[in-house]
Amino acid sequence: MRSQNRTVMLDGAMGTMLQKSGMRVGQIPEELNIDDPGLVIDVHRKYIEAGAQVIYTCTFGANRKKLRNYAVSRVVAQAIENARLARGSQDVKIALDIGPLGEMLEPLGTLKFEEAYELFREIIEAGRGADAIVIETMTDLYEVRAAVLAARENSPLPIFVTMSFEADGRTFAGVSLETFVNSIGGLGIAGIGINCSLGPLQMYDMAKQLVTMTDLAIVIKPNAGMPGMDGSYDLAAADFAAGMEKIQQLGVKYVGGCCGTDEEYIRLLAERVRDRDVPPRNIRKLSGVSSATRFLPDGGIRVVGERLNPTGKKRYQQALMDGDIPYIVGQAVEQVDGGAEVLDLNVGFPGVDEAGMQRRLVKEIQAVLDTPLQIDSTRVEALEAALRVYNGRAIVNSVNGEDDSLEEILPLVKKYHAQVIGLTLDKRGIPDTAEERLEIAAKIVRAAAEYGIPKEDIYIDCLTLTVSSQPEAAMETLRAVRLVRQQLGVRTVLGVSNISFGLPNREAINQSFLTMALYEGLDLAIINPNSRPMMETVRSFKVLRNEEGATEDFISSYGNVKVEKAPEKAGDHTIASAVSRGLDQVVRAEVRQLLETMDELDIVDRELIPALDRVGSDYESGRIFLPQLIRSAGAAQAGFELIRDSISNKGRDAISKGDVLVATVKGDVHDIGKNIARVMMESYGYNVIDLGRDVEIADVVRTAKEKNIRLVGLSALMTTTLDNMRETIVQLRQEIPDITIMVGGAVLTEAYSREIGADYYVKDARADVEVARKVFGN
Amino acid sequence: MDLKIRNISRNEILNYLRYAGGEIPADTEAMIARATEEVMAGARAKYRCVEKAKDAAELRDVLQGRDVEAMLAGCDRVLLLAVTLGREIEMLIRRHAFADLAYAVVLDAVASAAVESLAEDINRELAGKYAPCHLTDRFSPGYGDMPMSVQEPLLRLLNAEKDLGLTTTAGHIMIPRKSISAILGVSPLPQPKRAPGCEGCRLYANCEIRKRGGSCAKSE
Repeated sequence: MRSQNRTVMLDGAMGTMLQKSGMRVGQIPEELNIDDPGLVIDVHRKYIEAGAQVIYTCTFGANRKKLRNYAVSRVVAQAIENARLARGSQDVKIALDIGPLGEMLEPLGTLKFEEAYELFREIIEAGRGADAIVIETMTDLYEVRAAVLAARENSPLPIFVTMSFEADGRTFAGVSLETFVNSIGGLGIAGIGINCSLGPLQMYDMAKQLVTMTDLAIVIKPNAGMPGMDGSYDLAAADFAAGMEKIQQLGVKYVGGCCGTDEEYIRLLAERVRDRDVPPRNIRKLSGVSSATRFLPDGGIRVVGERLNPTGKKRYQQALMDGDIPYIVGQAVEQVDGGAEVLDLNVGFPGVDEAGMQRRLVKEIQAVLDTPLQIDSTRVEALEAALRVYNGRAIVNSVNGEDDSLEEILPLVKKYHAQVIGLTLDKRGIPDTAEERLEIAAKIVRAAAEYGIPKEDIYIDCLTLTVSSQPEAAMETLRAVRLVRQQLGVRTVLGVSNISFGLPNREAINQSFLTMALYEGLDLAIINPNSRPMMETVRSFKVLRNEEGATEDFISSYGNVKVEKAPEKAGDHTIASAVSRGLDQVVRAEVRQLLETMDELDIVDRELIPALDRVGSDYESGRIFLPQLIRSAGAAQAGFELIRDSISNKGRDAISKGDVLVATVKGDVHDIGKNIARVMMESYGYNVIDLGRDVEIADVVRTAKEKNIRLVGLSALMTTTLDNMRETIVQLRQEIPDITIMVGGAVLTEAYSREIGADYYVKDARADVEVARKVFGN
Repeated sequence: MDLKIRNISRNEILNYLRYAGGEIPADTEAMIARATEEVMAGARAKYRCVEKAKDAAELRDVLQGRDVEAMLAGCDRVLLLAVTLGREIEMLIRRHAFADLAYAVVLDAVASAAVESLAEDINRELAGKYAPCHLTDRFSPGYGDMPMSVQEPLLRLLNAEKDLGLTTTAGHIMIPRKSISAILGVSPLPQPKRAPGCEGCRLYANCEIRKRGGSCAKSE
């Protein structure tokens, strides 16, 4: 907002002042800009008189969700006008103030990222007459991302962002200073900081950390201390000013006050710090990858999970084709449980809308895991779709040495502030010698620099070739890794598993190659983290290299491995008893044995289903309860997977007892009941297409039509979303008159389900199976 | 205000799991124990309570319906209350729903019981604080004839978005889901506890036992 390096005085609270000046109960403060502009102008004037050099417009909640009587554009325009009137001819800047939308974004809430972007865009377009944009009091990094992108793409004004942290150093959404700075600091903003929630005393330590993490200008705007039960704040104006002066001395350029502060607080603070030189900061810029809540600093060896990649993985390919999100997210969770610190995500497969699938999966995965993502595609539109909705700082996998690739992809890397992998290949293919690969790597690093992407953000992939077909290739790749590191000073990455293709006992080769590559200084190892030997290699290498925390990690990973009780063996159980006790390993072993002598369908009909029926009737009679029922279904399903594999290996048609579509209706986020229904039906051999929760009505109808669905299951848990259930049913019936619809959820009853036009009311976790049996006649 | 979970009612957990008697197998017990530990450690529980005069103008949007009016008949003050487990638990439940659904179901039940236990703790503390006055039962949007849309003005008076990170969806669902908002009356006279019958129960709308025509005959 001001160029010379002097301390700039911001204003104090707007709401506090309006309340004091007699704003009436229930009034929306932003609408005062129109209803009683004099009140707002008066607050601005008081702050300017007290010494504020920047005033925030009265637009904190001026969004479509919160305004009641006036359009956003009108309120924002009038708010800027009011600020101008208060400013007159004085040298004061006007900041367009933007607060949270008031509704939680996905995945916890139902507000879509794209909708949030549009809501912010509306404010920003109306606010072009300001001198700067201030996005403040944010707790959700995703909302910040939507706001910053909207600001950047629709306004030339400089952007300042502040979030509200609790005393434990995290926002309500779990965002830390590190993840905030790492993800948002590079999105082309002018200043970053902290406001609200705490007083200057509680904020001091956080401010002290923040000034070292980034070279951006810092903004600090705390409350007047901490609130008491009656809502008043505990810090007097003089104490506030004293606390803030200490914060200014850390090298903070923009200072002001939030809730509870008034013109007196600003006056006393301005007397102390206004226009003073900003002390120099000792900056060690933060760099690394991050999700909303987890930051992985650069340096150290990182395991990147390779499993979300269709190459050679039939089941994953099928899941991409079917949109089988639970399977894919399950694979992601499994890799993280295995030890992956970053997940590679590749969805490129013929027939799959790559951009759409990237967008969807990025959202689904970040909804359940805090593991940073590596977006793997060569298609610009797929990369952009993923980078835009990724709530953090990702790695782009990848660019190569071709001009087209560099020119198309590097601008995206820069725009979304990602890190990038550069492959040492170009039009000629993969060069044979390490020197030639170094040359391509050097070209990539040079090109990146032209776009303003520093070396720290680049990983060079010297490319793993299959050693069985090119025996000299492994050593050449390793030599290239060394050269790239030594001569370019960038970090390196390798996809390891390719080395052993075509050889028996692949893991032995993979393990040795990984050890050698790590010794050459490999930074990112793209491997299968579910492979115990591979993870052992990484963890032991870290110990030997004396990495910080490596020994503790090694001990916690392997120190508690007790001599396991001899696993229960197939012979100890029948399928029935194994299913009823939920022992999936045993069910598998039993099924495997039976497959030698019995037909697949017979195993299903004579063993698995009767076992499940028995469990089901135990559940209905109250002899077992819900967790056991689910475990049993899971165990039976493990057996089913084996049977499916066996059938597909024999080249026969897959067995499915019928396709069922399930969804939790629009507006509802309670999906556990729907998940249970899915697992129950899957355990009986039905193919369940699960559209997830908060599902648009149009998506249910379209999918049902596309997939020729005969049975749809809908769930809703809240009375307020039953209308959406009814509407989904109406539209399904219009498009597919003979479709059967079953509904379930705590607020439903038999009578009500009839009233809204459903065919069946599913009263508990198992009733869906009975409906499916009737509909499909099996 | 930050809050510590002191105990989680085991009966409440079993209720949420629709336990109908009989032996609880060892692995289910183990899941309950693990989930209890995880919820106690992972929750970032917070609450806020404000007191208003019953005739305060700002309560007009909140005290909607005849039922709450009846409950507050003998009261001069009203307490508004919101408590939440925070957002971390939500993510935890969703993660497990993909990896181990049975455990996710247990975790969900434990979290529901935990926020209920917290509300009970606060309730007790308030009762002590206001003695010798008496408190009514807790009444929440969605009970009786009070519309769910009361949720927004109620949370606004509690400054719940800023102070607790608690918001609602367009359909008035509280996010984070493991949250309770409530209204209590303060009266100089002893207050009748709600009838132990189904009508006064907070599980009324969702109760499976009642839907089957039965009753748990749970009495206070």
